Amino acid sequence: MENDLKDALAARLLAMGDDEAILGHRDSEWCGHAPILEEDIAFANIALDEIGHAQVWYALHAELLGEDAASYPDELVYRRSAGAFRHAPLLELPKGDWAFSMLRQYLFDLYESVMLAKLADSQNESIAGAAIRIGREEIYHRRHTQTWVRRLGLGTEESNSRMQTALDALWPHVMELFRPLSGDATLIEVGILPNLGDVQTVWEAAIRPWLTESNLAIPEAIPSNYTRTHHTKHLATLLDDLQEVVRLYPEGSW
Amino acid sequence: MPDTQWPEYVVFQQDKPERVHHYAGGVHAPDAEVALLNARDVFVRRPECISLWVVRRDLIFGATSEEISLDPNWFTQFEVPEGRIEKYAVFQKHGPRGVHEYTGTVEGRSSRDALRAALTVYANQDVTVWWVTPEEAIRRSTSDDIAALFAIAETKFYRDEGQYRTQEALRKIKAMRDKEQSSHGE
Amino acid sequence: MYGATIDLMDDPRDDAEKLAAFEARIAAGEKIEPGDWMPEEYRKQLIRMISQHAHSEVVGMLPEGTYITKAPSLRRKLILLAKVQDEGGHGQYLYHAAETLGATREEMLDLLLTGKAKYSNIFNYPALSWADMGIIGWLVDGAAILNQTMLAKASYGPYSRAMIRICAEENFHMRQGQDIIITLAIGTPEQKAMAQDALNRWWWPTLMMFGPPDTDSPNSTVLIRWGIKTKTNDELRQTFINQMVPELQSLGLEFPDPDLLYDAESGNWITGPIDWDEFWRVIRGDGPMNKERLGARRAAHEDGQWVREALAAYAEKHEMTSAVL
Repeated sequence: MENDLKDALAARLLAMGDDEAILGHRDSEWCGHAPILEEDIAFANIALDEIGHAQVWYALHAELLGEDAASYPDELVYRRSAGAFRHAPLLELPKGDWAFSMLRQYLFDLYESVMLAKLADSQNESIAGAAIRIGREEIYHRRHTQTWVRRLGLGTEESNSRMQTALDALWPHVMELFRPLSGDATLIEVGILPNLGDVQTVWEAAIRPWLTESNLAIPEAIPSNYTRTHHTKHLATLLDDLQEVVRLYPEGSW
Repeated sequence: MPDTQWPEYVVFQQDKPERVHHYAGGVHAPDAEVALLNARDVFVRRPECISLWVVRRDLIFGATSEEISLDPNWFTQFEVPEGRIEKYAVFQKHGPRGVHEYTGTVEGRSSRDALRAALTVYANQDVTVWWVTPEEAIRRSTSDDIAALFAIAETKFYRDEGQYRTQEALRKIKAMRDKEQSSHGE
Repeated sequence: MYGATIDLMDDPRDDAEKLAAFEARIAAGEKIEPGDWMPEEYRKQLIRMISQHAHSEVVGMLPEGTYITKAPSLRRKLILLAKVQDEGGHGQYLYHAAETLGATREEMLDLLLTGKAKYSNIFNYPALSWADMGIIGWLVDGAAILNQTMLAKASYGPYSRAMIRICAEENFHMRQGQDIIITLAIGTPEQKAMAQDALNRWWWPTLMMFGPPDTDSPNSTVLIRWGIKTKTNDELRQTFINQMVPELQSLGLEFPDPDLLYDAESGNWITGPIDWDEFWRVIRGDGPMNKERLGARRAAHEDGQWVREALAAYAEKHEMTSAVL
């Protein structure tokens, strides 16, 4: 593979892995604290899936760089500093209330399921295969989260207002999911990656009616100042927690 | 406002195509769709499921064989309403072990009427508990759900205790330590 | 459902006859099912015991829950999250078993959150390091497996069935704990010290998990007579000690008990005296983490109230429950 293409693909896979790892981490914070026991279990399932997806993308990233696919993902998650992470800042925001976490999960699940459906036709066979495997789990996520978004949107005045507040806070951060990385154009050209504009079109066509029918008003699209390379202050706090044990005993293997 | 944990739904699970649905437990849910999703999350964290049914608990009518045998008037002392005839699913639990399994359907004008029909149609010495519920009250997963809801549990290798060779590791470490100690003693 | 037909029943027997028949069924190894006649005391003891057990699973999510976000590798994170999630699932199975006896989850949770219901003392101790995840899995889940293997034979059908399902899932919990401790014990000196420190802090509290000594256990007799329990607290505790001591010693870990010795005649490991004053202190609410644990449960419950109400309101508005009738 040409170097340009390889660098571009590595960067894209890293961003995809980071998205999943950071969201899975935030979701896992709910286990033991959810509004009802059934949802402690359900949301933990979603977190487990997302962390599993991170492992898949990180492993492909590692293979591409000639690194060990089994151990390199942990190097990435546990030994990088905040500035090196490439996920969308949407995913690092603190878990907030149940409306915030559920709506973020829905916005991301829908993005992910559209992306995976297109990646299933990728010219890169490893990516296409992974997208098909992971895609099965996203069908379930999407069903779970859209069921919840509908019910919280239309439930009570309080639930509606909490959902609207969450949507207003999340919406500016969503756009970063669709902003191409510097190398993406190369990948799109050779059919490895779909055009993110197309992903966004499909995503909006699905998400706008669902939110509107859930009695939620879609805010104006004003992108936030935070990007995949410029994170909010919350990432450092998140990593202090996530990397605590490894930093305490840097020589250890686990 | 008093707390609500939502109504309780009873969950029936089918492990393999050649097996019938059996009673797995219950979940709390505000409605049938959420109940089905919750049942999946609670009961299919590990594989071995191809179909789930959920039924609101208060729509299941049951009797134990002990109850029925002790009440001489069980078959006669109730009124059958005028209403329409409906299909009811019948579940039986056999013997002291095992769980309630789907047996088939009967028709009846009420739950009790249906149970009486079931006692005639599916009479079996071995039954310890009978349940009937209107077929319409059962929310079922579909064949499309198999891949999306159930098969994905297969990838969760870490729940398999066979992944952890701890007894083997303990034996090896012990043997190593014993060897070290005996060589120190010499 | 289940036993809801009791009031329709015209049972010709008097209480003494019923009790004799009930005890004969238990002696014959039959399972009592919801709807069968049972002494009121049997129902009460079961609700108490099963709901305490359920509370223990749910409160038990908290100590390990604090380390889900800190687990030191992606694999460990998946394992720990799946394990804590399983505890929630086990709580769920157990609440369901208690519900078959006529208790509601609203009532049971209310008793927990108002501090009136008990749960296992062990969860009132803090998790202070990653090694605690290993020791909890190995010792606490190891103890739970012994208890639950016994309860899988319990005379009440739904409790027994919940236990069978739980036992099948629980071995993974203990194994992953052993796996953590083995990794630490053969790791750096700091890692091994971390494992030793965790064993020091958790050993005595886990011995107390089996409950007070038989001479001081008020409910044991009736529980054994009615086939709810089949072994005494002291019997289970001894089995546990005999299993754990050689295994952990084989890793070069030491027990925080200068009196611990092997009695060749009985084949038992004998420990020094257990501090039962500490046990009763923690039960009365004076343990290191009682306030924090209940506080966390209350917060989750209160923060979740609007969520539960919203979905109930949606179901009502859309008549989703009656649509399927």
